[in-house]
Amino acid sequence: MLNRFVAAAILVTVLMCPPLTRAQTAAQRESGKNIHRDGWDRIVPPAPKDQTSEPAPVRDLTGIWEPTPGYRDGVFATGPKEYPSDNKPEHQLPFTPLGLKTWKEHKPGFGTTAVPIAQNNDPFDICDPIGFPRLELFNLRAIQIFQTKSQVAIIYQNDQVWRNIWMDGRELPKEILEPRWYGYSVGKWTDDYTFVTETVGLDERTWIDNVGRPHSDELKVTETWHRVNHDIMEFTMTIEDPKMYTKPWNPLNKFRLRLQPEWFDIREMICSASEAQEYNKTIAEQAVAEQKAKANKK
Amino acid sequence: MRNFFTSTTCALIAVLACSSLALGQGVYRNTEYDKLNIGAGGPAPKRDFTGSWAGPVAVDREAVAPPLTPLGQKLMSENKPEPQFHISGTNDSFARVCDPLGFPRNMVFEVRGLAFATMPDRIVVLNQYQRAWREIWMDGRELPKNVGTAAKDAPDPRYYGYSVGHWESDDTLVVETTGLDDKTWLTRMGYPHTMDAHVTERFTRPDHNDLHLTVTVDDPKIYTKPFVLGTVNFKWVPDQQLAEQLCIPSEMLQYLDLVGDPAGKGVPPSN
Repeated sequence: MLNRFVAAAILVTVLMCPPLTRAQTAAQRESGKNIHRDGWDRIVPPAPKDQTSEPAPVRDLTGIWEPTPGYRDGVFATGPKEYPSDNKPEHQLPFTPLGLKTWKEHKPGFGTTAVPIAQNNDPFDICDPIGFPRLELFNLRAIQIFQTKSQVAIIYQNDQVWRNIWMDGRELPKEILEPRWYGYSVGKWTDDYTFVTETVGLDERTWIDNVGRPHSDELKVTETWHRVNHDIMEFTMTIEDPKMYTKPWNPLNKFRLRLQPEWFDIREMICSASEAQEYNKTIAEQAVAEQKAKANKK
Repeated sequence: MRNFFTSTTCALIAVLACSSLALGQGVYRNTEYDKLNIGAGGPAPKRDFTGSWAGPVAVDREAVAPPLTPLGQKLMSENKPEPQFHISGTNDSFARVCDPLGFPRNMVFEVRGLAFATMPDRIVVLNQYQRAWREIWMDGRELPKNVGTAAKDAPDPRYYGYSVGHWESDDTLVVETTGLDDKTWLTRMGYPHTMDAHVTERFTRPDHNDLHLTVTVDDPKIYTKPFVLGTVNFKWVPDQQLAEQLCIPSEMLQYLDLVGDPAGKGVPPSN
């Protein structure tokens, strides 16, 4: 049985360092070796440096995919790859005044605007649904893609959720009566190796990424999934939200994923609200106690 | 922004499992499901459940556990189910703060939407509720025997366990699952389980539009014999669309703060 102390210690690690998951205890038992294991604890071979392979099948994304060359390359704790929150001029986003105001109201745990956990107002910190597109802009880990004639379904290691993309020719809803955490998505093949999706109707309570970039009810997300060859896929995302940003921007641009072996089982990675509450309470109380101790010393 | 009343109501409905729709035998029905008077729809495709299915809201009140072992009695006495202790007094972490339902509770509660995605060597079950998924391996592998132990290659327990399946015939799929995180309950009545619980699902598709499921639990550390946790009848969803149905912790906390906890036992249980 998993020792409860170990489990609690792991929880602390999980919540302090979102890249790590509760389910990585097995890997930790490997005397600190950085061995990548799948959900059934089978060792996953490292990605070859050579990224050439057989040609891609036509109009087919099915399979299990992970970021490459490193399987943790999609963690994006401080913001998505192309726009991390690091104060560099080239990473400044084209905020509107409302966008900047809303971002400042968000109190993330990471990036240049990070706050102590007691002041954090990240909705995912209490395990509210991670929502889309944050699902892909933070902790993008293993995904599995299924296709039928009418839709594409993607299951994510991240928060153990799935979403579907309709490709039966329907149009996106013009009026959103009920915004959703994962939105309304349609997709189409623009050529034999490129699948493009559009998503609208996203619940405004979610953040775009792990550093609190905001969005409005006018957010439209475009995903481009381009299969370069049999083993490699490039993933590009475009954010359009005229209320929050003066022009479209690409949080990810040709981000690479690698096809995994057919036996690969995706690890379980679920946010537990009761554990998060316990952790937040413990850490917040500790932080307050430390602040008081410092004040008393002065 | 979404109307707060609507979203809170959704959260509340999720917790109370549509108490106004309750029918006899502890089966909570789903009005959308009841509208699906679509007949048999011809023969079922062979060895294929791919697509979206509608079921009742819950059947977990049907479960009658056999006598418990001493350990089972001890664990059961620590659980305070919401139907007896009300929302203010329950320690059901799903009811209180939307913790993951886990398996097999997710197959007998909030089963009004379910989909199957099929690959050559595995089947993925997509639950409408919480948008959670689980994977059933069909490649002949054996279930792990050392989940949660200190062994070097021991996998961790999971909310949705480790599952393997096989086709018993062209219309019947049998799925075996173990390695379940023992934080979860089997049903809202607080039935406990260990990580060694062995759960068998038996799915039968007699025709195109019907799918039947029986869930059986065998956990000898807790129960003196195996028992049926529930039987669920699903109907094919004609337009194949499933709703987005999520339990939202922040909404639940708001509800508990404003209504659930102040009301104490004044809030009726969900039956």
